[in-house]
Amino acid sequence: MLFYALTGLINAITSTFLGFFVYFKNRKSKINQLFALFCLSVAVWSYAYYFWPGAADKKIALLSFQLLHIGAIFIPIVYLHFILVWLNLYKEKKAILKLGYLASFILSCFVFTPLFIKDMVPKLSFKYWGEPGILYHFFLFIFLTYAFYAFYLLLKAYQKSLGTRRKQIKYILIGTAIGYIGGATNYFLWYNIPIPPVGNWSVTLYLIIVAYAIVKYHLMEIRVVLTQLLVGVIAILLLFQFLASETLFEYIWKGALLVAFLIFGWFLIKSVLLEIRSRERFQELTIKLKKAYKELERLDKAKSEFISIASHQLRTPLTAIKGYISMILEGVYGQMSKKIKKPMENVYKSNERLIKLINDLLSVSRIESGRMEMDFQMVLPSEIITSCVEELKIQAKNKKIGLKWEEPPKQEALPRISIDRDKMRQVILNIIDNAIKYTEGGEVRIKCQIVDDKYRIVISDTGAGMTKEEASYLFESFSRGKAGTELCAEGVGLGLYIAKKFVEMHGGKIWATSLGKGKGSTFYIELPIKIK
Amino acid sequence: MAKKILIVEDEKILVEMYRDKFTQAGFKVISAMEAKEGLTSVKKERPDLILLDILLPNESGIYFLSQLKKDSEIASIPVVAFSNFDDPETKAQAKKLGVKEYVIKTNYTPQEVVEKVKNYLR
Repeated sequence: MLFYALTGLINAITSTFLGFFVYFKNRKSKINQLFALFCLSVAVWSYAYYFWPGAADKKIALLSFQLLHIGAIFIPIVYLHFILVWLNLYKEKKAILKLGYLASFILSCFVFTPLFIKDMVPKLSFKYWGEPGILYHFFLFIFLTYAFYAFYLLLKAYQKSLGTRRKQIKYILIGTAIGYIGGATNYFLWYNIPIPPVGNWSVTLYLIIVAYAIVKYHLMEIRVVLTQLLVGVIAILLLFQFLASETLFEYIWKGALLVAFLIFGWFLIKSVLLEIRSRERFQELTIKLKKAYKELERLDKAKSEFISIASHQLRTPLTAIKGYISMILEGVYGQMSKKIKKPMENVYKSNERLIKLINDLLSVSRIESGRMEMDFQMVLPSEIITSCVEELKIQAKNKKIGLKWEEPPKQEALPRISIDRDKMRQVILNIIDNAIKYTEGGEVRIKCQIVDDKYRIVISDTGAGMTKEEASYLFESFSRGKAGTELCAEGVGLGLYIAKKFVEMHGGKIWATSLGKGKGSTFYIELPIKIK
Repeated sequence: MAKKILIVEDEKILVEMYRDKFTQAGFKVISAMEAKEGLTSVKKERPDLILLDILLPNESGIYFLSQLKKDSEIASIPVVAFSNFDDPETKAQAKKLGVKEYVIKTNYTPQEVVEKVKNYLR
């Protein structure tokens, strides 16, 4: 009999502690309130349960049984209420809940009548056990219906949930199953099935499992509750020790120990609380960051699509202008007068500037959003330089500038290296083009060489040169040297920025040096020879 | 015999311009404004090369390519994608569907496009 009384007592103490502390931890929280109420139902049932095995006579045994059923009637409905609020289903299922409460209240009114417990009779080894009244069957039906319904809702939520929430639900599901299955062993004897209430202790296990879910996943800050409980118990023990002191010396050191422990305990609780708060803040921030990141990804995609479409729309008329002017200049539509040739060439050049601007803006957008794709192939950089020189030689000639490409002799040919042909061509073309633009008289010289196992392209000019300061921000976006604004009004300063980024995407580097104003500049492009 | 090229392009001005250039360069030019119309022309005219725009009304150039590749009789006709839609994913798709090259129209004069085409027809 002692075993059954003890199971009742353990259930009673556990539920009292948990209910009490959870409620006082956050009295305003609906979840805390309902969990405490649920613990209260379990406690009422468990305290009365504790008195039943040792009941001296039939009357006390009956009273214990009647009292424990007041708790038992409300266990499933309060539990369902707790689950509904926790799963955010309260509004949706309010009617079912109200019906359950109504039925429970009505039933509780009949607990002390023979309609609920007809009689107390000996069963198995028990001196007194209840004989069910007509309403008892109804009670059991409601009990099981609401218990299964709560379990079903948890199961459904488990299937839909993710991450921490899923783990919490899993623990509560396991706890619920263990608690109700164990608790159900209390009902077999009512129907003369010879199974004693051996699983009654499992209610404690259920509460511990739920508490574990709470501790591990901060459902109701139970870690603080448990810390406070521990500190409180030790403090009470120390207080008793202090009060039981017999000498002044004992009073002093036990008093000092108590004070020291209280201070230590206070800091302990504070630090646990602080840790939980910061974890919660961290979790909240993580969720917010995830949301913000998703939104940014969406916006980035939208921006990229917009830029692609917008550049397409801008390019189409420019294609027509470029095409027609080039064909007019080629004489496809007949010979044109010398007078009109120059203006047509100017229109062509202006159009080319617009095309370049759009291409540069598109490149910058791609570079900055990390969407620039590379197409590496084994290429001879000298071939690219030759084609760039070919393209720019007329421009140099028009400015009366020497454009000298010191191509390595075939027997000393430099190796092919893995590069993106189009992008590297854009880089080299840009540097030579700049050199021509910023040089008034003199020459632009290009050479390539192997230096320290790197492929180096050197483009030097006798042009405007630059200060050290100008050289330091030359490769930043929208930057142009002073000479850039004095000598050439074209461009917005994106070319060198793009060149730098493209070279970096090859694992190389680009830099410029100058002896100063009016003393020319030298640009270096250095690329690794082995890139896979 | 003059080589026949099909230009699938929805911008009338550009069609006119490229037609002028290719005709002057000795090509026979046929054109289509939409992907489906283009596919019909390919089956009927069997061009030596197709110049294909990508952003077209209704079905895109990518659709055109996928349909072309499905039909073994016309699948081997070389296609040069030429579009001002400079989207890396679309480019990759087009290359996967076998285009010889993805040309950004605005970066090339019609003469340069003609040279590219001649190169592929060699």
